[in-house]
Amino acid sequence: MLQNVIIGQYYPASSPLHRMDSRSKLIAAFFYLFIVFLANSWVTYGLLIVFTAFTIASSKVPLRFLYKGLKPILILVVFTMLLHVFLTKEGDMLYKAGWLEIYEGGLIQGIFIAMRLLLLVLMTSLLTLTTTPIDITDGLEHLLGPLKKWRLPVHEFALMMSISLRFIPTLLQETEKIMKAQMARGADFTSGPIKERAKAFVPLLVPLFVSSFKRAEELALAMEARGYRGGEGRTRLRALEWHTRDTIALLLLFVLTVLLFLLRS
Amino acid sequence: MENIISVKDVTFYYPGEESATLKNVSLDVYKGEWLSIVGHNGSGKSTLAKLLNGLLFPNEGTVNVADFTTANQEDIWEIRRQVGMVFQNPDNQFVGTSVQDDIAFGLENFGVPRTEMVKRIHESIERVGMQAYLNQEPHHLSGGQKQRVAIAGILAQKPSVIVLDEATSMLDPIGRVEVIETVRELNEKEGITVISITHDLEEALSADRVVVMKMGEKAAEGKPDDIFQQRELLKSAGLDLPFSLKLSEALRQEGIELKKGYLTQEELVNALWTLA
Repeated sequence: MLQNVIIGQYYPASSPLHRMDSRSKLIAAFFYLFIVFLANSWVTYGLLIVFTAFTIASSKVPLRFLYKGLKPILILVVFTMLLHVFLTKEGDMLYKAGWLEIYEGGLIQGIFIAMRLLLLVLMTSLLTLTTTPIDITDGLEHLLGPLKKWRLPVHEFALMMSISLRFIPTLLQETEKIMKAQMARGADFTSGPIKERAKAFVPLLVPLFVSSFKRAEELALAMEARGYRGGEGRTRLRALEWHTRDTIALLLLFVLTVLLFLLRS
Repeated sequence: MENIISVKDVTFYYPGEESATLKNVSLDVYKGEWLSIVGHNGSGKSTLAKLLNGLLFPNEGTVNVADFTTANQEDIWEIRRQVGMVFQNPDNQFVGTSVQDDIAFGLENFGVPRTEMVKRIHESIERVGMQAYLNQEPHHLSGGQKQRVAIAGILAQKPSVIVLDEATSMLDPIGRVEVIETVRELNEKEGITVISITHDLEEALSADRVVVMKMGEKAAEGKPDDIFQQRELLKSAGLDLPFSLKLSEALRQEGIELKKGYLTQEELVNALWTLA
């Protein structure tokens, strides 16, 4: 089971979106978070939907993967939509049954909010679906680079991320090993009341913690032995390359923003 | 012969401990040799290894590598570049998310420019025979393969010494052979000095020179042939004799006239079938 563990939700493919620089994708996703809030009419929402659909199409990510990412937040979307539908009392009354009243304004508001949430989640999942975690880390380190001037530990943070990513499979393998060892001695992780099951995990977590600390110590020593001394004067193997397509993507986003400003009511 | 490392009168205490882990140890390592440092757990052999590249510093005495000394803070980085270390646990020294990232780690630390880095990565991965795994992630590699990647990472730094600190003790027999053969080739073909720290005497058999550590002191030093004849010494150092040596010993006690204790199976077999 651990042989094909996929960290994050990266969907391997070779689409224009996959080939984009992680920096431009990060900037675009972040920017998108703001311009979504510019939309306030059918036309502007329509525009955003077309843009998002276009991005999804160019990512070559199968829709069911997107749906998998959306599933956990669908409840939230439906819930906020219903809240707006029932509680906003504007415009003509459309329906009334006892205390339940639905107004036109509420319905429209509900639909808009639901769309806004869906669009946001779709775009941000596209970022993680088309960019490996390590590329995201690299992109963040580059983008946040200027903050080093204010003594923000950007390099250390990025290194921490990449080491965590590297050790996730290792720790999973170890967890499996310890679980088997405990099960061989009669531990039961899968049945019984929740309280019992939670208790059964203590003998799993303690050895895992102890060994993680040991690993950390040995890793630190190995890193020092290989000349690690912080981010100062360090060169990098992983190079990020900014292509024309990255500039085009950001320009498209800019055009979208201008259109949104012009068309919003 | 020319020294590459010289350790002079080194005494070392771990902070907060009463007795010294290393007591007045002196040691010369010659250029291009294969030196095995053997000893029981707690004999100070791993501590000695960490003193060689400035991971630890002696309380008394000096450690010199080529023209550098670990006492000089500015020399440390050059010493760490020259003296590469392979540790015991293959997993806990793999820093990168893929093979090539891991090999690059040391180069990045030393500020090697990217184009040069790519060249050196390809060069060194070929020398350990792992070319096919360049983009592989660590959890898809065996222990022996991970250790070979660690060696490649060191080779990329153009070292003069490789220290194997119990580097084969967590590997299966195949992985052990893989690693030892890789290092042997580097030692023979490229003249890289190898210091292998181990408690496995079988591994020490093929060394040019053996140093026996006992209770933080250097108990003996010499050619494997001479060292392994001193059975009492090895036993008192808590070491398990190699199988062929034990067998020749037992045969001798049974009255079979062997000239000496034979170190390798081949030598023993040859001695036995030529017995008059």
